[in-house]
Amino acid sequence: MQLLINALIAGSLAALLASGLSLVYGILRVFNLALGQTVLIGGYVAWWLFDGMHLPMLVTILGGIGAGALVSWLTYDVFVKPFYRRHPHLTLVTTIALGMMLDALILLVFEERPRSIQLTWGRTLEFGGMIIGVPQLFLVITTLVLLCLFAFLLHSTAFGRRIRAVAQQDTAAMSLGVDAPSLHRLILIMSGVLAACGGIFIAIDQNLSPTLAFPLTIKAYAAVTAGGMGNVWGTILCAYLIALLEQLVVGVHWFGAFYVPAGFQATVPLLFIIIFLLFKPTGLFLRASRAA
Amino acid sequence: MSILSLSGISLILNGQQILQSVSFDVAEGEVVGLIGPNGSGKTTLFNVLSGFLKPTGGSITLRGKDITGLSPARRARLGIGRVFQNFGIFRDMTLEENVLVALEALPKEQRRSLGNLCAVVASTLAMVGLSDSAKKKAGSLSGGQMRLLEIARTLKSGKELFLLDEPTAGVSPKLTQQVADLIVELKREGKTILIIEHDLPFISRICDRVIVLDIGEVVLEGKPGEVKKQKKLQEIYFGADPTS
Amino acid sequence: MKRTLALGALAALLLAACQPTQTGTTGGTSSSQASVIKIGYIGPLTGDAASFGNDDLHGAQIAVDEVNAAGGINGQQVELIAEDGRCNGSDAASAAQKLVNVDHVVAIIGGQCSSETLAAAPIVEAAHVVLISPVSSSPDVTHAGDYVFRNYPSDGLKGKALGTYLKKAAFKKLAIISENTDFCQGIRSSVAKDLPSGVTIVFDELVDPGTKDYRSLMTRLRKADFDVFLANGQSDATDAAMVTQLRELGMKQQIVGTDTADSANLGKIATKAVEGMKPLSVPSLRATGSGSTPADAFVRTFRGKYGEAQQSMFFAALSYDATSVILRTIGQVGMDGTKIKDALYAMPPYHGIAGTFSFDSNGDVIGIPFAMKVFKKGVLMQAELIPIESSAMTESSSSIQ
Repeated sequence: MQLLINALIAGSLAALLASGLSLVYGILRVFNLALGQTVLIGGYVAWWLFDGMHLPMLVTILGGIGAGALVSWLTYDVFVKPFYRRHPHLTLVTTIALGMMLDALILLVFEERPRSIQLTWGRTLEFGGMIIGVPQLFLVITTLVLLCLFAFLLHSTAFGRRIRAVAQQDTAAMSLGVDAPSLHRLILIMSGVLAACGGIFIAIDQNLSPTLAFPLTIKAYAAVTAGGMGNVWGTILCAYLIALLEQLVVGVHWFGAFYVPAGFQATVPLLFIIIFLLFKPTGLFLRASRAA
Repeated sequence: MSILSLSGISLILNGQQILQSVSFDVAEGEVVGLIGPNGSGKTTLFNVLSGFLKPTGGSITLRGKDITGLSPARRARLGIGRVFQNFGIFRDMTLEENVLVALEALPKEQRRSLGNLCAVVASTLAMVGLSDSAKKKAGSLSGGQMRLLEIARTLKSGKELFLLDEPTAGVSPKLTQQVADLIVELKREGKTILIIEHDLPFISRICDRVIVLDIGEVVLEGKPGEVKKQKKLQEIYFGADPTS
Repeated sequence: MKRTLALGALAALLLAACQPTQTGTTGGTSSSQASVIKIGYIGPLTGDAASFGNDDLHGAQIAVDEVNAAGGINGQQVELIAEDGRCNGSDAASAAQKLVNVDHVVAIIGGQCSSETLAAAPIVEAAHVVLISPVSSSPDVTHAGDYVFRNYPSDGLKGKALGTYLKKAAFKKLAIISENTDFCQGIRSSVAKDLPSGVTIVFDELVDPGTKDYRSLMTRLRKADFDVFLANGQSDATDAAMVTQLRELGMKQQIVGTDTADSANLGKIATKAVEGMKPLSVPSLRATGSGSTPADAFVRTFRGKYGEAQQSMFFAALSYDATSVILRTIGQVGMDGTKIKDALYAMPPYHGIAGTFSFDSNGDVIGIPFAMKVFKKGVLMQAELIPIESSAMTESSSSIQ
């Protein structure tokens, strides 16, 4: 049971990062490889406001989110928009370039040492033998609320209808009067906001260090790929699923005989995905693959 | 007064001349058929008109306003509606949502003048007999039903100028008549229509004028009856029976 | 317009790519000077370990600056050429190749991470260039080569020191989680080798480098019967994740750490979880910056130039000592690598700011002890010193010399 809680914590983080990414891929067909850096900048700015400026938590969070939004706005207008119409793969190069620049910027501004946000209400709750820290509980719940908001936005608002229309048939949507390019910008900014939330999550739950960026991007893309490229709900489900697998791999006493060495925690679930994709290359959740 | 006016539109794509100084006017309420063999540039011309391709030269005016540099979305808001050859339907959205998206994309004043959007959605679906499927995914419709939905959606979202790209392609014979009726209905409502179609009898029946395109150029223009008699039309279709 | 943007992006990218090397080549004097003595530096200037990589670079730079300010070595100015070893073997090897074959340095300070030093060792050995690592602690460095020295105690001895502590504190069941790196593996095997009788390892897991999610391991650990936990991470970032998630699950056992936990920053990023945690490391620098000892002077200069040390002022002091020893030896015997090497083996105890030390027949340090520290309210305090014997003395006479 404790493993479920562990998976919920790890999965929430992965879901935050991957959902926005999946939306971006589903609609723009663009891989944003600077995602990890966006996450870090969101987290670092929040840390700075909290630890350096001693501002209240809410302001810090908003500041971090603002920073993430700003970075992704820049990502869209400078590194994506001029290129992706010519060939979506061009953005692979431009976003890697952006990622490297942001890496340098992070080192310059926030230095190499790890940073974290230390909440004062760092108590733990115990119920039925399961233990969860209050900050972690807060993070898991906030993530679920955010994802529900995200679902509501996507499925029950005019804005969401527009996004889905562009995802499914952008030419048709445009000839109905939907301004696809500015919608693309909004989508990228939305993914930046989710990424920044992920960064704040990391700052509270673990700690931020500059080398985290690329592994984060890779992990998010694992969920995006397994969930069926561009299928947001598949991606979110896979993020939680991968996290659960990771916890099960090392946490379960397999067949009552042995534990899988902890070094395989990340590899086994990815291996599982690879094997799965061999048999079903469209991803776990093919059916509504273009549903956005 | 002409609603749409093209002067000297040319397009070069990847070093190839796709359109060559295409010029013509379309009068308000007129129905113009655009015919020509495959690859003659008809759909490309539609793409230029709806803004997906920027012409290499020439200009387009809509009601006297130059729209050559405007984005597809801006043009749509100015009243150009497009019906796609391979269905401009959002398959993973419900029929209701398909219509709703079109209505919500309208400029504010126009949207307000429609009143209750849900009522408009309902009447749009009723118009093409799809009320029962309102909550279904559009992907479950037949080709003919998709086309009907698309045309009805374009009509109800207040478009003035219709670009219909082979509206009967991929439509079962049973529904072809219904599509044709809907287009006639558009005409009766005084909408201006540009239509690409291979079905010449259908063209002769509803069009006021026919423009023949070949290798990106306007080669013939006139009333359907006159154009049909021209030998050149036969030559362009390379012996293919134009009445089939 | 688009093209300008693209060009701008490209230019910015180039700048970003150049950034580490720009901070790297902090030459004390201009290299146009013909008769300049070049000293190389290898250490992690970027990445998780960059905090002490930069501290050590700054320590070495201060030693070079002082010599230059005093007129150089026999009238020749000294230039420090820094390369980023990124805490891994392949980058450190290419850094060493460049320093030895392109820059023709007289000696190298570094690497800092053990992986760096081990990768650079065969290259300096072949070129007969002396290398002193200020902080590498892997047991493998002992036999890495004749030209390879270090003024940091080997982890080969750390197992013994930890054993001494465990015995004294009467702990019986040890749980270890180690990151899979040269450094952490070195500690792990040393601890296993020198475990005192009566103490058993009840939990021993190895995780991928950089792992931050230990929750399921900790869930398992909670079911294990242990009374002391060794957090064996490669950086304070992973140590922090480990101890936080351990405490989160309500385990109250004593935690010990290694040199990586000897980090003031760790007290800031995991203030509550590290309370009472004991890092086994080298002593702190006994200097506040206000006194009149050479160590105080060093701390003042360091703070004035670079601000507070990112990880440890003691590491910076070790790097300063290593550099000073090299520069002094060059002044005594000249620039020949073999002569410098022989002089270092024969060196009488040197009074450095980190301690008084000399080298044994393996090039390992004699005189720098271990120290057990403890976190109190997020601040590190020195608890006790654990003196050590030299590695050469503890080994049989079979060692190659």
